[in-house]
Amino acid sequence: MTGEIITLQIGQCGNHVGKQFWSQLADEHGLNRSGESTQATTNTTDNNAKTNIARDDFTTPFFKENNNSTRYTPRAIMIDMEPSAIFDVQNHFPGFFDDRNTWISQGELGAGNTWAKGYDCGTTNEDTFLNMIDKEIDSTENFEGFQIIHSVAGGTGSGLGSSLLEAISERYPKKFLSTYSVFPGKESEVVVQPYNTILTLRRLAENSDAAIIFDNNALLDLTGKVFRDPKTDYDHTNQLIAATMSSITNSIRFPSYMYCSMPSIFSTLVPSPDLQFLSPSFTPFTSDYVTQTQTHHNTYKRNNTAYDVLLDLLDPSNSLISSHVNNPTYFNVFNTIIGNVDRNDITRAIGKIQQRINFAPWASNIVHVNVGRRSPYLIEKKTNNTCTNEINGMMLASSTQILSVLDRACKTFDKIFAKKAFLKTFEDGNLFKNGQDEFIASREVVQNVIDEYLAATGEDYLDEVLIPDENMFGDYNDTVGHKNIDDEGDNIM
Amino acid sequence: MEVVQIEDHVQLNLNDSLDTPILSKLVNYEPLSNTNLKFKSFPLSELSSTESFRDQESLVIKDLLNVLLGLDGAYIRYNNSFNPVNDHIPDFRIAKKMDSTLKALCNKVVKLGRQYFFVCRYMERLSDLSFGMVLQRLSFEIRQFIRLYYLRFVNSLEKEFIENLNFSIRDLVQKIKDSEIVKQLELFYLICLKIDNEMNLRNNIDLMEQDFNNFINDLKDETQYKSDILLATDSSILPIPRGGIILKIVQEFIEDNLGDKSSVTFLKNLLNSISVNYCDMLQQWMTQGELIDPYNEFMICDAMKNADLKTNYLKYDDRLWFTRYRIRKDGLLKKFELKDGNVLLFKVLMTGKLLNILRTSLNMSKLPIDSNNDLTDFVQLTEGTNLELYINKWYENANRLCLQLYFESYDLELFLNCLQREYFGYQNGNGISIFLQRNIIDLSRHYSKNHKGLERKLSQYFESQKQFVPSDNLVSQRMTLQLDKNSFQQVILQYVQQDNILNDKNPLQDSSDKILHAPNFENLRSILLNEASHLPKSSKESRKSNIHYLQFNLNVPYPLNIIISRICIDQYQIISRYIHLLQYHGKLLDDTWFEINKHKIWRYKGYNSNINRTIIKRCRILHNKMNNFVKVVLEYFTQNVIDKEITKIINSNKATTINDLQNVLQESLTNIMTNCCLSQLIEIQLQLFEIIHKFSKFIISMRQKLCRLNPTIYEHYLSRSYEENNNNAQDGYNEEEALLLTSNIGAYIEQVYFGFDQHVEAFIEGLTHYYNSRTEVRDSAGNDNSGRLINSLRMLKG
Repeated sequence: MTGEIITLQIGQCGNHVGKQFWSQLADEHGLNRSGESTQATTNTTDNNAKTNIARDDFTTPFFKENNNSTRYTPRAIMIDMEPSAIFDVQNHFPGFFDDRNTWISQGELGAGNTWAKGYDCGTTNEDTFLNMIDKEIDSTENFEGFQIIHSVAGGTGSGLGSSLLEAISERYPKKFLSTYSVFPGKESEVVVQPYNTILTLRRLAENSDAAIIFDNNALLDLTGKVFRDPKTDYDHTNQLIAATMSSITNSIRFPSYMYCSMPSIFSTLVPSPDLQFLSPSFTPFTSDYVTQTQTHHNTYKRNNTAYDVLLDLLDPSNSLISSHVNNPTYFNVFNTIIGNVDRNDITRAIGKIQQRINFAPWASNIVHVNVGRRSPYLIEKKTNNTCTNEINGMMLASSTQILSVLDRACKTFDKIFAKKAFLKTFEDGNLFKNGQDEFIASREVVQNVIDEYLAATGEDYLDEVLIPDENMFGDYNDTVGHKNIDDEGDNIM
Repeated sequence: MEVVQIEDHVQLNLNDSLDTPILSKLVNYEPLSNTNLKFKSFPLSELSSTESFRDQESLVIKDLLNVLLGLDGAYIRYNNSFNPVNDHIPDFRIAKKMDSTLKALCNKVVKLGRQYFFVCRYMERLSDLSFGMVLQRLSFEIRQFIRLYYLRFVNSLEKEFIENLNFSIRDLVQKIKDSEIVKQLELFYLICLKIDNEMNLRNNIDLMEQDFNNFINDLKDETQYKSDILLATDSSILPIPRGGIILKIVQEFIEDNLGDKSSVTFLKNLLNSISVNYCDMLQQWMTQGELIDPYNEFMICDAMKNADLKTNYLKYDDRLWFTRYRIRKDGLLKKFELKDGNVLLFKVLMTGKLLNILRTSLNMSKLPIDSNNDLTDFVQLTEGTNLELYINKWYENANRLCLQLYFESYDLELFLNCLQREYFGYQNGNGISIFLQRNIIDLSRHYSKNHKGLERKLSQYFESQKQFVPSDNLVSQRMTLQLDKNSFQQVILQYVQQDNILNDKNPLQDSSDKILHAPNFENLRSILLNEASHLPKSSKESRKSNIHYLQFNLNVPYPLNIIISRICIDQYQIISRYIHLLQYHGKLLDDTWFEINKHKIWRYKGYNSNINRTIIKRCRILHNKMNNFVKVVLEYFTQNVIDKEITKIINSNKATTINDLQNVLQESLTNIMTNCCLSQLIEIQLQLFEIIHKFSKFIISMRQKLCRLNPTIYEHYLSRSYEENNNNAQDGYNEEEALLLTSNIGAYIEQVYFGFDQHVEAFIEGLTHYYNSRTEVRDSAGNDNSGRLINSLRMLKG
């Protein structure tokens, strides 16, 4: 489809991640902080830089261009219920973003980490948001879909995000809707976090087409390792998310032969709408993606080959979600590898990966590898760097790894919900006028997702019909009874 | 001495002077002694006494002096049957009564007279234009020789005869014997004789037959020695030996006379003189690419010699590049007949051709090349490795200039990049994707013969997209969209079957044997025509959608088409059609993904578990499998086949010759074409595409059926529309019907599922087979091309 993609950044986390994401994209497309093409300025002085004028990157999906291609504006909408995060972004990128595309709640200051508050704020202002989106769509020719960046723990990203997920999937049913959702770590900072998470998970399950999950445990672990700096903050962590996002969208922004649109990537990964949670891995975080400290620079000096990188991606320590699932079952795998790679390395790696990982019985067992292009602007920037051949890889997998995150969300939820603790903050919410039905229903949806993932690992996920049988119709009746039990999740575990 | 009255007058024979050589005799012949004796000679018998012996001797010497000029005398006369008009060479007859010692001495001189006569005649004859410049020059050299040396020599003899009282016949014979000039005359005589023989030989053979035999021998040679060099040759035989043939004859004489220093020097000088024009031609050809050869005697021939190229559009046609200039096999110099001769010839041919590109491209009639006149003389050129050095020097020069022209002025690299971009989607996946997106409905429709409207519509869209492409992308600017007459299947199967025939040894043996044993051109033509009519007939095929007919055409502008010839573009087209098919089916699956994953009817939660499993879930999983398959094949084909080969082409700017460049491109494209995906396994893939296409259509048609399977959504979607449209619609949701429909749909999906798996399995099997069979020839550089696909697909079957 290769159309325009609108990025929605919701809540504090969403906007902070967004800041890093756009900072990364600006670097990769040779833009400065106010969205001016760094090339345009060099061209005026350098007349024979003719070859530079023809960009071989493709900026349309993520940027609006002014007439003479000197200024690029992100197709982004920033929404928050308190101003600090958005102000921070605007200060960091003066004039980069379209001012009409920001919305900050006037009345209240923040959602107070309450999902219900955020959700209600979302429903109240739904028309405003949809208007903003419509206006943004007006400036597209081939609108393709949305990507939402948010966290599921706080109030705005989860609550307002949830209401937007619902609104968007209702209003634009034929557009692709993906989310980059950040899940909380083990030590919760907010007591109602488990509620927020479960309530948001329901919307992710029901309304998003692909949800790329990050979890703070893994992110913090990785941040510590990558930066080796005791004073890491969310800016560092968010760089890791931005790196992953950049890698996922690489083939859209730097077109190669294929995977030039969100659907082409995600339709490969998401076999059915019940299995849309994707776990990302990334390695190594080279200087293309993260601001380095001196110590870090030495760590990644070893020359990775595509083979090393692709196999490293299977290592749980490079995953952006922390998982306790041993030997997870994979449904689909999509890798992007960027840098100057040897194709034979990829061939070898694919062979090895397939021996190593465990595919679901019905799965195609295919490991997709897309060779991405490293941004010429990044190469230019680092010409005097010793590491000229930097290879990095990203893996998006649809696998049971995700169960870990879902399980944890359910367990913490169950713990406090059993005591009916902290429900007071939700009572004002419109959805909770009739009691706790919404909690129970959301919990059930999440359970269904978990059950579906578990069922998908089983031999009988698709039934016996896989085995060709002449008496298919006879068998067929027998299996009906069988399946009813499965569906209730009684005998699967 | 008694004078006989004989009619003797001089007249000009102008009536047949137009078709006689320039230097030929234009007056009538004098009355010859053998037919019209003008006088009665004094009887020698009366001079046989010892006292009168000196008289007899002087009479004989006088005659001999005549003989030396080819004339007859009193006692040495032409033979009776001699008639100068018939180009006869006279036999000199010596009077019987002559003293036997004198007679013996005479015999030696008479031989000389004959040679002189012959050489003179030959000189006149060779002055004809049709003999070409080398022979004309030989004629000139003979004339010079006679005028400056021979006649003066005879003159000196005569003078001595007149002035020196003691001058005896022995003195005469001794002088003749000692003289270099006489030796040289003899050499001339022998050369002329050899040339004459050659002419007679050529006159008497059946040229047609000889041409044919040469042609067949060439074919045999080519099949025998599979060299990289494909030399365009003209194997026909010249009716008159010209140019190189003559030079070769003289060269042979030098070899025969090695050891005789003075003769060798003389012959070398002669060779240098007569080859001046030939060398000029060579020099012109090697430094300017100009062929100045009015008499067709050079080793290069020009098929377009008589065509008016100034206005001819053919001038820029790439076919001309292959066919215009050819090597004339008849009359090649010795050097070229040796083992590496073909390599040298090829270089000579290429040099001029390349310079022609330069001249045409730059629109110059003379290239500003300083030739330094480094070609001094022919003899030196053919000595040692001088010729090789000379050829190499200019070959490199021409290549250097041409590469500069291509890479710097025409930016060949950019052009190749654009080709890859436009045809294969390199860095242009988004372009292809948008094109498919916008036109997917039209492209999915069945192809009909009457497709002009659609073609126009697609073209319009295609043209409208060009404005977004940088103007230096010549490929995109010149590319046109068309719907081919033949489907991709028909086109590719022709190639594949050809390949199969080539790979299969036996049929080749048969047909080529037949060809090689054909007795003449007529027969050969009929064999070939016969074969052409037996080309594989397109197999019956089901109706295909328009995407199978979509192709992009490109006329590569001159001179880029010399490198990227029509054959290359044909290959580009076929490869791109395959890629477009893969992209299209990928796209189709991406689109249907929205349907089965996002549409409310598909996402409805209330279906019973049977429907959920046998229909919804199975559809999704099968869909995912198809998607995975198409994408993994595309991934493999783009990254491991195309990228790999194209990298070779792009790196070819390091090539040192244009020929290398052509070969690299050709080889890479052929490698892509013969990859098993595009050759042996294409049929199974086309079947898989068919399944995918049908399945996608099935998915789109499923909404209605799904509604009938569940009472709730039936109520919600169908009943209302029935009420609106048709009052006596079915009486609502029908449980039994739903059950039957469920099992029917389930069975269909099952069938597709099974069919798809089977085909993929067959595909993998084939792949493994070709992969394994290639293991033996795989090079050490890890050219395990399809390994990736094998790795990827190994466990595809669920």
